[in-house]
Amino acid sequence: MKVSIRKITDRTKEQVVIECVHITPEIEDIKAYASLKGTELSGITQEQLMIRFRLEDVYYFEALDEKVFAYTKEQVCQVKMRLYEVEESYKMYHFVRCSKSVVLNLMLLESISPALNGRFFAHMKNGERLMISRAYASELKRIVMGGKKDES
Amino acid sequence: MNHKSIFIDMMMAFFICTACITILEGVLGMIFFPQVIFGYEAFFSPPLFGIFSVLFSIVNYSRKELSVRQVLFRRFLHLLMIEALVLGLNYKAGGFTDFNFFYVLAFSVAVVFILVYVVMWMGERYSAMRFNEQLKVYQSRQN
Repeated sequence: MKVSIRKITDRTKEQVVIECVHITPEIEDIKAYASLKGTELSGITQEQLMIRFRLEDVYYFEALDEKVFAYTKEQVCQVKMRLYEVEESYKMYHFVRCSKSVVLNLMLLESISPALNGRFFAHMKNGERLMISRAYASELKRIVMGGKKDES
Repeated sequence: MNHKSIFIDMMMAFFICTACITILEGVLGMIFFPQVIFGYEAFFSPPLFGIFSVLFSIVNYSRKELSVRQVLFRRFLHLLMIEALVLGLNYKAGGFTDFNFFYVLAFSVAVVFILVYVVMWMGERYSAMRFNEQLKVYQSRQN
């Protein structure tokens, strides 16, 4: 595929234009990747400061007491979204529900390991361990393993 | 958790259980009752115990996500139910002429119970390993 870069001066006008004959899964991947790189979120830190951070830096979102928090490597920020909105909006950016209260970033998932009662632990790249419920484990496997069969 | 995965889990537990019970019956029979000879109906005993053991596993299922303590308590309850069934049936059949047999049987049932969960856990571990391999592929494809 031919790739060209045109330099501009206005940062607000930065964009990626994809020219293609058909929208293939590869094109969708490129679109998702490009969109993710530009996506920024704003949130309130524990010190009540409003900050902006990149979506790709978020390890996971967690719902606690009607509030949703985004966990990056350095900080925890409260975001003004419901967890189902996070799940729906950022599905294409590899964010997947892994339990009733957590949506994790598949790109920052290191590995999984079995826990008790058919559940799994998700080991994130920052060393944190999250629980993957049975109810969401199969969907997670379907996304990562594609069409490959895995009955467990 | 859908019905399909519950069914698959139950079937796996049944086959592992039946295999372990068959070995257990063979070993205990050779030690405690070497003179006893059974007919073909004896072949139905391991799968029957297997079915009941799996049916009792219903105590492990819950719509809610259970804590580790709750899971362990339910597993213990499951074991107690199986022990009651096996020891009860043996008592009815007059198998407890030797007290050592009672203790050995109770202990063996617990070993089989743990073994079934260990084998199932190993299956999940294998599944996790496959997932981890695919996860690396998935992540490199997206980067």
